[in-house]
Amino acid sequence: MDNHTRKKILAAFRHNPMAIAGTLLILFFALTALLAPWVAGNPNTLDVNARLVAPCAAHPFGTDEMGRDYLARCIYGGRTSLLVGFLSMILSTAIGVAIGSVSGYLGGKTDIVIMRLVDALLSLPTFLIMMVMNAYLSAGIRNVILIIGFLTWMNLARIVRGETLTLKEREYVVYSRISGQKRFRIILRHILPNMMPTIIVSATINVAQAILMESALSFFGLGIVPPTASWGSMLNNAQNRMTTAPWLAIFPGLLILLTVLSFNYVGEFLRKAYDRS
Amino acid sequence: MKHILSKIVQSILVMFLVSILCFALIKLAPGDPVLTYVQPNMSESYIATLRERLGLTKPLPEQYLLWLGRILHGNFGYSLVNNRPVLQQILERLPATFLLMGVSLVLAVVISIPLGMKCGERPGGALDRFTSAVSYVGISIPNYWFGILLIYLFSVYLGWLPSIGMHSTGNHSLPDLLRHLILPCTVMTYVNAAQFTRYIRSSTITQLSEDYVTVQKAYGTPRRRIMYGNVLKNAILPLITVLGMSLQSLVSGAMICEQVFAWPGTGQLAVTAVTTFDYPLIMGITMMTALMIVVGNLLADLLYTIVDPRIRQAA
Amino acid sequence: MRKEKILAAATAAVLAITAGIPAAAEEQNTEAAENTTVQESEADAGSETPADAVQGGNLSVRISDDPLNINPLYVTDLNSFTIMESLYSPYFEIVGGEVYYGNGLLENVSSNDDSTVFTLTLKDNLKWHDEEPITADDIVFSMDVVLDADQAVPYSTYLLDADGNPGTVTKVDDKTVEISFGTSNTGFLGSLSQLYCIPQHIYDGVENIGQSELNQEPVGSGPYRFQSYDSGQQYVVERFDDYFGGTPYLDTITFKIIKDTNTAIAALQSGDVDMLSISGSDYQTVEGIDGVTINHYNSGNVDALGFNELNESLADERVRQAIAYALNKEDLITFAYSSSNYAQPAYSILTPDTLYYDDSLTRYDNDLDKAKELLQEAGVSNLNLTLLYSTSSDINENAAVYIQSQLANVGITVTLDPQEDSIYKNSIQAENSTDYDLVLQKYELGAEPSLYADILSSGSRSNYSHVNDPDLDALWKEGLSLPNGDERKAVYQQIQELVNDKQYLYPIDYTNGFFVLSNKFGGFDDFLLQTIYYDYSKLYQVQ
Repeated sequence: MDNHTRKKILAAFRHNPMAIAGTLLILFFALTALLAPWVAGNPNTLDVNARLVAPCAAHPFGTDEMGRDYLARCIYGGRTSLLVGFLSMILSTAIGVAIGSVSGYLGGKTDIVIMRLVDALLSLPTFLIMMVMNAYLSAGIRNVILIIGFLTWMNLARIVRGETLTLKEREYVVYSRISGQKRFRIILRHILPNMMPTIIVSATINVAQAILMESALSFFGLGIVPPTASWGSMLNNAQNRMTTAPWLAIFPGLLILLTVLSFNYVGEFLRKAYDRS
Repeated sequence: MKHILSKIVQSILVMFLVSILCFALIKLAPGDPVLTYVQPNMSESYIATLRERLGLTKPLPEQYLLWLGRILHGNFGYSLVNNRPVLQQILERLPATFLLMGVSLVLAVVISIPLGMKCGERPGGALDRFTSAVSYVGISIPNYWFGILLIYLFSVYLGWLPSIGMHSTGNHSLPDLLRHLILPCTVMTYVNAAQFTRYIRSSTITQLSEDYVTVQKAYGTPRRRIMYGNVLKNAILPLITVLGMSLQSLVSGAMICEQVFAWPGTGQLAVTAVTTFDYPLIMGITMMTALMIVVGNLLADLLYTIVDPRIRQAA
Repeated sequence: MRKEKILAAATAAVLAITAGIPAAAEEQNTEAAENTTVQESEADAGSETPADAVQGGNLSVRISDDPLNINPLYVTDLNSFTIMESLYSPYFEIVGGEVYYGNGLLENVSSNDDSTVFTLTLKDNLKWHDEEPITADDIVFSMDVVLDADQAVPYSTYLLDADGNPGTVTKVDDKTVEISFGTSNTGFLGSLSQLYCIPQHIYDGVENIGQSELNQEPVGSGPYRFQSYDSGQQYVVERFDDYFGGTPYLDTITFKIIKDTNTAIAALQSGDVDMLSISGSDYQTVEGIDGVTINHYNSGNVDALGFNELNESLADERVRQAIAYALNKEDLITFAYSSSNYAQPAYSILTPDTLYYDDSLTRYDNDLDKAKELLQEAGVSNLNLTLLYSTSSDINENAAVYIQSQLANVGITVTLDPQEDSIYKNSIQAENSTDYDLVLQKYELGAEPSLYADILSSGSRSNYSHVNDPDLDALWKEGLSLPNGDERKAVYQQIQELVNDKQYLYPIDYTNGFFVLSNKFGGFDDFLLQTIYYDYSKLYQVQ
């Protein structure tokens, strides 16, 4: 990404209040999650005498059925959800970029085999497979990240392969090839840097998707192990208290919506900005 | 023609790979499905019979070939849980899923084409900004949360609509069915339309900047003619691919939405299959869905070739 | 997605609401059987017909999943059982510890003094749903199916005696059957109430009855008969006019399949469902709904914490006792069930209505110092334990979270291991499983104490704690063969004390069941015989 593009994007950013709001929101949630031990109380302290307290001064978000402070749980829950979102995005992006660029650059039979495998993986009903795998593997953050990461890289791989096919015909790539540079060096040095925009946009949207997927897995009672909270698991627990304790469902639901919305918006903004410049 | 043939061959190859993946995934899973059904005081002979029926004694490659041979003949085996043919169970659930997803897809298309084009015509206008906000929420909202909110608002507090299922008891009339369809269909239509509208909008913008539009404008062709003539035709092209991908949902349904609204479709069947470890059923649903995905992509490809002359020439 | 285990044998809940029914109901039944067409005018004759009852209407009952197998000999899940009870009549039920013939096919069952020979006598004019008569041949046929290893009936053990030998079934005449055993079989009546009669003229010669297509359109003997089944949606049964207990009130009963509990409650609220059973955690929500009544009953279910003895530390009884001291049972119940009203603390492995239940066992009241002391004595420190539980109920999760937080106080680190029900069962049923150290389990085993042996006998599949105590094994065996009396009572008292002293199992609570019924319907008290045993012919729509 050259300086010129960066300047153009920053300029566009300044004129887009929604993109600013989205970025700020993401930063705010991420900071709160990082600083959770300092800004929030213990999310796992039980209190038999303060169960299902409605939002009040002592508990701004109320308490849940175990008497735990819901604000603290929302903050720690955000920690889990964002962690799952980021790490599975990194995993899926890494796999997608690696496979896509190698497949596109090598071409020939390797490409055909890899791409048919990608097709096959894309043809499996992802969410069903996630549920099956989640049921087999023991629950826990690590496995949730692995499952989401390993099942969401295929689309990016396709896009990266497509771009690699175009890029590898560029003069400077052809030149480095003729001058005898190693293949992987060419991919790393000349091809990947040129598709950073694509990768960044897709990564941003992947975070959003991963957060939604985690919450959906939690909806079926899979995924995160209690007492650890994630927004999805909190929503799952809150379901049967919609009428008696609506705040339990409203807060995490809203938090998921806002976070995912922000990521989607920022991702879309970046896409447009790159396209224009 | 050659292009089409090679696509078909590739699709068959993909299905073959899918079958291996699907089989490996399920068979390599740990756990003994039989143990799920064991209760206190159950006789060992019953347990032994159960295990025998699964035919787990043969080596894996042989099991795979036998299984592949069977599904090629349309025999997906029998459910471990209730012994009914897997295919029959899936077929029983298909009409419900087909209805819900079909209506939602059609509605989404009907809503998103004019809406997306209007937005694309005046990007940044009031309608575009509003639509864009609504569709961002649509792709960001957790499905089940939205569904539950709808149930509590329209069924519980207002009491306007039934909350669950497909029919009221003993009432198989069309109006009753439609009333049941409204809420789940709203969720699915919203989610689909949000996505489709964004596609139509952006391809409309692209089309409007094409030369032919400028030329037609210069010739004084009425705006409506331009929009609903060439622009429409070209702008819906990307939708073909998206619809091709959505085709599978007619069979696989929507697990989350069906679960929330107790809609008796295949999505719900899939959830049951997973929670009861019923792997013939899991494999059956996986294979059927995969087939629909592959066919959907193939159809979209073919349709694209027919509609878009540039691709036809390139091929 | 809540699932409950089907019970393996009769539970004799002592329910105030069912007290005194047997005699009266029996009277009505014989009367009605003679003249089935005068249901309406019967109000003056039978004191049982409620004044506000009307003939007709449909009742919608929630079930949580598709029934797996409706054939009464092969029912292994609660949903199938709930439907099956409307389609098939049992031989008799055991209510409040007594034999109850009201909804049963039998007019009488008797045994000789040493409980080796049982005589079953059928009521008059019994008919299958296809109008064929029900005779002694059907009983003999059904018993043969149970004992036929090729037919693989899940609960074929019900027809075995203490030595594992099958009973001999002989037809005496068209109405009478005799079943005899090699040794005394005191618990047989409890088992017999669980065995059902299937029609010989339908199933004769069928090779694999459990998997037969015939089960799709069952021909039963109950108050309602099969009408239709839409997979994933509903199972509908319709009134059987020739039911021996008189024409049932309702025209149809629709069992609606609703997996999600919250959806089911919303459906109750909107009137799409008239009846469902709920757990304590949903009590508050349902309490706020107008026009429905929550009926409480003793569910016969015990929640318990198991200690896997294959874990070296847990094999030491002091560690198990320390864990018991570290927990506060009342708090545990409050957290798990929202309120202590929804479950009673349990101190014995037997339920209070089980024969020879002992109320006076030593209690391990919450005492952290004592717990630490015991751990020190056992030489255990920095203990790491995995607690396995099924995610099928959120009660488990709350209980597990509490146990984790409480055991942290005595220096035991607990890792929670929530599993999908199918995986959970895989772990606990596997032989010598070391997948878990602690396990939250539940069981419903009824009123007959000998049936509890399965959960704490060495080598048994349901012994999730892997208890291996020859003394305990010997006591279980002795209890099974002794005739009822003081001697037998002493054995079961000894068992309860032994289990409590060694803390082989930590019983948490006896759960209350809650059955919600719309106020548009009546007859609940007569409908619920006990726990999950129902007589659907008693439900009616009110004026």
